[in-house]
Amino acid sequence: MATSELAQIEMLASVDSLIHQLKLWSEQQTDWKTAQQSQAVIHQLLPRLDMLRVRLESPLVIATFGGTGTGKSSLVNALIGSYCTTSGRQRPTTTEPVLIAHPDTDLDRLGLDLSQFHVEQKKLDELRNIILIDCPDPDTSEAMDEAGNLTRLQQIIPLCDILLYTSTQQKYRSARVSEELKEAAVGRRLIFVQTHAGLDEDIREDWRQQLSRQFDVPEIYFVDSVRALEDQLADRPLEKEFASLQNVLSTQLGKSERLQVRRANLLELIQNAIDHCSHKNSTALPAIRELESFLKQQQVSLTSQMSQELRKELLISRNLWERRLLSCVSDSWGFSPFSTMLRVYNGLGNFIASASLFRARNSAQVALIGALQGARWIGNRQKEQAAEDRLKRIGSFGLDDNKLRESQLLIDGYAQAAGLATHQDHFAGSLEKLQTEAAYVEEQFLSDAGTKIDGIITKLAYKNSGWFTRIWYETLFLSLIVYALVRIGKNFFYDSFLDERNILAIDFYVTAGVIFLIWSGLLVMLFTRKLKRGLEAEINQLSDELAQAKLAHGLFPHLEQACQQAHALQHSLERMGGETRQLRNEIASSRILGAWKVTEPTMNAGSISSHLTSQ
Amino acid sequence: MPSTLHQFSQTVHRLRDNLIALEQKANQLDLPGLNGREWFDILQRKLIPQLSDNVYLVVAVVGGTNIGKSVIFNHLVNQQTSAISPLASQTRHPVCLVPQNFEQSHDLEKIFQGFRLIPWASAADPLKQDDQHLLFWKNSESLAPNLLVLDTPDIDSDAEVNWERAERIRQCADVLVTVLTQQKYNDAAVKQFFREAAREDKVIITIFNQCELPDDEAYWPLWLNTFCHETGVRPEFVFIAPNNRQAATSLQLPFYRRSFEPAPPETAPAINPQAPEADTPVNLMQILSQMHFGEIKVQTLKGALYYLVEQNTGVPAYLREIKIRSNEFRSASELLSEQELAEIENWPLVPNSVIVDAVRKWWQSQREGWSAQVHGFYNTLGQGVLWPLRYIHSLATEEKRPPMEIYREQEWSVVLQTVEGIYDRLTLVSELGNELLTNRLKTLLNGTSREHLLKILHEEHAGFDFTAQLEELIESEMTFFKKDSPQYYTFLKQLDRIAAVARPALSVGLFFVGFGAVGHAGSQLVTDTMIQSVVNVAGDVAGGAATTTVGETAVSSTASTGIGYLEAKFRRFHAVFAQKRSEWLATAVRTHLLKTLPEELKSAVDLPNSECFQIVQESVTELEKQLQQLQISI
Repeated sequence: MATSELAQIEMLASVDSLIHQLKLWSEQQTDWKTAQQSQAVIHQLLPRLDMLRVRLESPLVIATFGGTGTGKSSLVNALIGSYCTTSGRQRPTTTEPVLIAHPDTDLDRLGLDLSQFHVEQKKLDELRNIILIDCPDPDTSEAMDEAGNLTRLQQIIPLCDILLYTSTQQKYRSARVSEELKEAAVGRRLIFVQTHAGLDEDIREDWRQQLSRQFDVPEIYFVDSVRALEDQLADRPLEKEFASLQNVLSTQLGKSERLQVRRANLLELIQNAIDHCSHKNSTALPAIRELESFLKQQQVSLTSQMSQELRKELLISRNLWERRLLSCVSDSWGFSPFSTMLRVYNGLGNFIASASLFRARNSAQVALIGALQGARWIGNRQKEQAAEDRLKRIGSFGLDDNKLRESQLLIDGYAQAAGLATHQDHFAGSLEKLQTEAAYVEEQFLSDAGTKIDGIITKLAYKNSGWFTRIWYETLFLSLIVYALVRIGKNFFYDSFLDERNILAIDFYVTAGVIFLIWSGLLVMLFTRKLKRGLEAEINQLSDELAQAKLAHGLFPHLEQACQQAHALQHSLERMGGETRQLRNEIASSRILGAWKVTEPTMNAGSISSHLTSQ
Repeated sequence: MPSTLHQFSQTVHRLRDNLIALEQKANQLDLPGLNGREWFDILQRKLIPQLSDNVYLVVAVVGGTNIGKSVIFNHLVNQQTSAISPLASQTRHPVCLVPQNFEQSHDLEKIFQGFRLIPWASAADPLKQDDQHLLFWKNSESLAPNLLVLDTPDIDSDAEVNWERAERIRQCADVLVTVLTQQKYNDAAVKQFFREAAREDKVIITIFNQCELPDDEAYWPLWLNTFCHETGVRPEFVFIAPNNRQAATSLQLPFYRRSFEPAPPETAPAINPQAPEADTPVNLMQILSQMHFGEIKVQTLKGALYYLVEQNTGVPAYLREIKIRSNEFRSASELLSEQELAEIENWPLVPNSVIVDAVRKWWQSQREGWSAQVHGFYNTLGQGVLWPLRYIHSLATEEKRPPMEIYREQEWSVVLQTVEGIYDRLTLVSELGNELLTNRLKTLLNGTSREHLLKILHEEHAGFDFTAQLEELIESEMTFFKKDSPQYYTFLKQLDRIAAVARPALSVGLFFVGFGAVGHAGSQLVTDTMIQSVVNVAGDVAGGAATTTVGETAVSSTASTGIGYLEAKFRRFHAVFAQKRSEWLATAVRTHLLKTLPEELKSAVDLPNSECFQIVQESVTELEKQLQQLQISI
């Protein structure tokens, strides 16, 4: 396969994929009203693109376009070489458009409503590749009415591939025609012709200057149609300008150029629609951004509030800290006399705590008891009760109903201004939903906090219970036990046996027991105090960390999603726009044919839709 | 000035002044201003300066771009005053030739309002690019006295500022030299321009330029007939000029006079392809100078006056527009007024203990002399002795927030609910499709203004000293009670007993009333102290048996003797306090949420009854009458 052919296929494939992407884009579900409108525009556009793709191979439709009296009909006659459409001096001359085609051309395939036209079939070689339409003018009708020339013209334009734009010295700056051209040029190639060469002066330079603000103007032909027709009828050689115009139309717009033209037109339509939509979206985006920044602000204040609250509660809950620290240490130490002692103390504490936890509504306590143990305890309870518990808890966590209602109220306003569609009474959802959401957010926050607290506990426990500390405490602890045992042993084996002294009375054991309790209690207390060294600093640091940590989502997850989607939609639209522009630049640069300048910001944003509806 | 029209001058001035006053008021109606309305421009540019001045004739050459306006102007004045160019849309500013010494007796600025006048220096002047509307003027000796001749920019090119300049000249002109060509006689822009001119009864001289003679001799009557039929123009004179560029540039272009009588379009005028026998070019200036200035002036001024008082396009149309708009505002306002903005089912109640405390405090302040001192002593002593007990008590029970703080929180919750309800209601109203309300409400309903409102409400709410407010209320109520009723002592004694039962359920309705009493909302009003927002507090005073509203009659409805009476009295404390609080809310909502909307609506509704509106209406009627009289006298 030849490289050029491959390139052609590649081009086709990328156009197809672009259209496919557009289709997918227009089918995405979104709550954003502006995007919904844009999607509707694209929806309207897609069938037209299909029609254009079907017509890819049929002859090009070339239509005249220009003010009344600029010699549209004369030009058509001259191009054909015979009187085919009436030209005259009464304005407007042409009210019924004339369609001129080769008899072999299958007109039905074009999708034109032939009853609108006066059809002329001419057996001319020049007409093999093209169909000529002589159009009515756009500038004699003052208002849009059914019978006006402008209305007739606007019905024909969407079906044309190339516009033959004629003007004269008198009319080349006529505002009304320029307005119409601006609309008509989108999705079509242009050929510029100054007529009345026999009578008027050459104003092409000034005209080009005017045109190039909005159009690519490769060449302007300056012709005298009347003379050209006479020349042809009399078999005289044609003027150079006219001959080259005729040549462009009949030969250069052959098969190869035809694909090029059609594809460029297609891309231009897509481009215009995308630009229109993306412009519309981007004017609506600031409101979305405002909503987003407000959501973010809400989230930040939410986290900082929660972490403040948590910090306060953690600092109060000293007992729980001790128990967690002790259990962590005793778990890691394995079996030893002192650790057994610690375990006993801890077990006693837990026994009391487990009873109290059922009543505890304190968020920090749940976090502190640890994700694992907390979950186990909560898991033992009825789930409903837990949910109810959560709802009650959030009140104390700074997320009371009033706060929720406030943010609901504000979010409603922002979402409304951002143009998000809603199916409920409130954008922000009902208060109950919000409460559940808040409880969920809080739970997430706490589980995050719980993990961090676990980390702190392990850290503190390891930092303050190294081997040295352990041996020291074990020794101190054992020393009493050893002393007592030695004392008892000596009394039992030696003193009472050999020395015949009395065996130790029960008083001794009571005293020893009390001393043991005091001693062990003292040691455990000293040890826990040691463990808790630096706790406050750790808690402060933790709350700072948590305040800066990002929540997975705030209280309004569906709104956050909608905002993200709005950005995603706009982004993909812009990406497609860029792709289209690039493709069009590859295809559409032509030495013969002029075109609408796409880089021009779309001033008349309604153009595409008005054309679509007229279809 | 022809004395016949002099009488109009005063009325027209009065009309203009009041129109400007009216326009300022009508700003809030979102109506387009007066400038740019054809009748007002005519009033400003033609009637005001020309009704009170001596007779002079303004002749302007007008037409589409690049059809030889400047060429014809130069021929008219027989000198190259306006530069000509093969390119279109080159003449950007009007040029005026002024007869000798004219400017000493007339103020040119006044004649050509809206232009900056600059003495003509060269033919290239009018080609200047300038955003200002300039007018270049030049003295000419050859000009007949009191004849002003102008060249104007085009009326159909893509430089739209040119159209505006041409229109301004048209408005003050008396005679329009209309240049047409076969390409442009049927253009929409051209037709529109001259249709206005015809309606203003300007004198029109048509020149068909660039004719292909002799071929076009047969066609121009057809063209002109179409043009006249489409625009309603009846040309006073018709000339044709051949397409001859060389002659055009060297001031040699011949103008042939033709006679023309417009015919109905069905019966096309007979084509006479032959030029008249004696076809000699005519001098355009001569024809202009021979015209009857006075008659023409009267005609165009009369035309302008008729245009001004015309029902469909003149001042009456503007007044109608204002009325319609104002009615829209009325319906918008009614829409807003008819809706009860919010209804609060359970307004929070101040804890009874607080009221009882407040009453006791008031009572203590009432004691005098020795009794007060003794009580004061025991009170202080009691507080001191009991302090440790209270402290222990407070340790045992969880720390309790002061009851007023709880009330504050409850009230804030109600405030939020109310505001939410109002926003919902307003959203509903904004979706009802009243465009005026929708646009105005949109800004009120967005997030930023909500945030703002909440902030203000929050600040105000947090700033209130509820206890002081309650004490003040008790003070006034009890003083009144004490003076009025012998039962007040019983009341004080049974205070605790009453407090145990008396808790009314209060519901509060929040209305907005635009002006006067609108609909059923107004009929229920209890207090009319608030003009713009109204609170309606209803409390079920005796356990649902009797519902009453707060007002002068509140208690008397259940006034019986004994405990029932005292209970009602106690409930009244609740109700009056709630009334005070909800009034605050209503006022705050109105001033901070609705902002100036109610006032705007009100003044918009009242506009057709305003003085200047009436004067404008009267002036128009007067003008009409004067015009009728003029018609009869002529």
